[in-house]
Amino acid sequence: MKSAIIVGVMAAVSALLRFLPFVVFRKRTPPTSPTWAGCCPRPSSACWWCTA
Amino acid sequence: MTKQTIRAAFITSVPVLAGYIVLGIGFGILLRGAGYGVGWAAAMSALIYGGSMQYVGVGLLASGASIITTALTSFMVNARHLFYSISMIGVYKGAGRAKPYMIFALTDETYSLLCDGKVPEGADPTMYRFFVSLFNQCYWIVGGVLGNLLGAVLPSTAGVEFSMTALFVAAFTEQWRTSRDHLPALTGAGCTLLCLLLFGPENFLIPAMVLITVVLTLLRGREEATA
Repeated sequence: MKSAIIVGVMAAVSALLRFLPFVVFRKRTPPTSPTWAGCCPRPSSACWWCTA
Repeated sequence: MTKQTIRAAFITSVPVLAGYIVLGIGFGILLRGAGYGVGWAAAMSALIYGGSMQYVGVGLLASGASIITTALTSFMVNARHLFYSISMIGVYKGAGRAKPYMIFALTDETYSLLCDGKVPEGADPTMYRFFVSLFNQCYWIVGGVLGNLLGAVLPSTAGVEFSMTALFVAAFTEQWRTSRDHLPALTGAGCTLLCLLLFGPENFLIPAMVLITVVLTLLRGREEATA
């Protein structure tokens, strides 16, 4: 049982370190291009930000 | 297109194949030597999927380490993955349902294959990266399982534990050879030696890693200036 807990903790910490940056930085920063207004709020292939 | 993408991913992953099978076998033999069977080898390779972490994990399992020690050691050994993930945010953008697995499977070797964002001509970028990640993990699991089975029939596994030391010596040598700035490497060696002398062979690892982190943080300004 203890071995399973040790493996679980190792797996959890490893996954946390891999996923954390994707979670922390998932929010988009507001773009400054004038073309942004044309495709907001939905992603569009016409928007430089969406295709960047 | 899918077939072409899978083929391209396989070709890209071939250099990792040899390394992962050999290192996986070393891990599997060590794990068997510590008294853990093939199920543990497969589970650890599937769920943790980190070479150095799994090698260190064999010691943690064998010694019955506490949860705190396990969590701290895991954090120290795998902290570099934070930086891999940060630099792959843009590359993995728009990867859809494959993205969680691709993030999970981001090891040193997979990162080195995918970090430039290049994709072979005609291949679907997301599927290509997904399959490179998947192939690499398959190699690692197969190596671990093979090693564990091999460990069951080997009369002695003495000396196999040195494979991890050899891996890190090779990584250190490569880092020294390819980098003009040797200060980080010297910092690592110096801090480790100091902590080994101060805390002894049983307790030096975590203090050494904390000290290395502190010293490199203090030296960051100088490193950025020389970069």
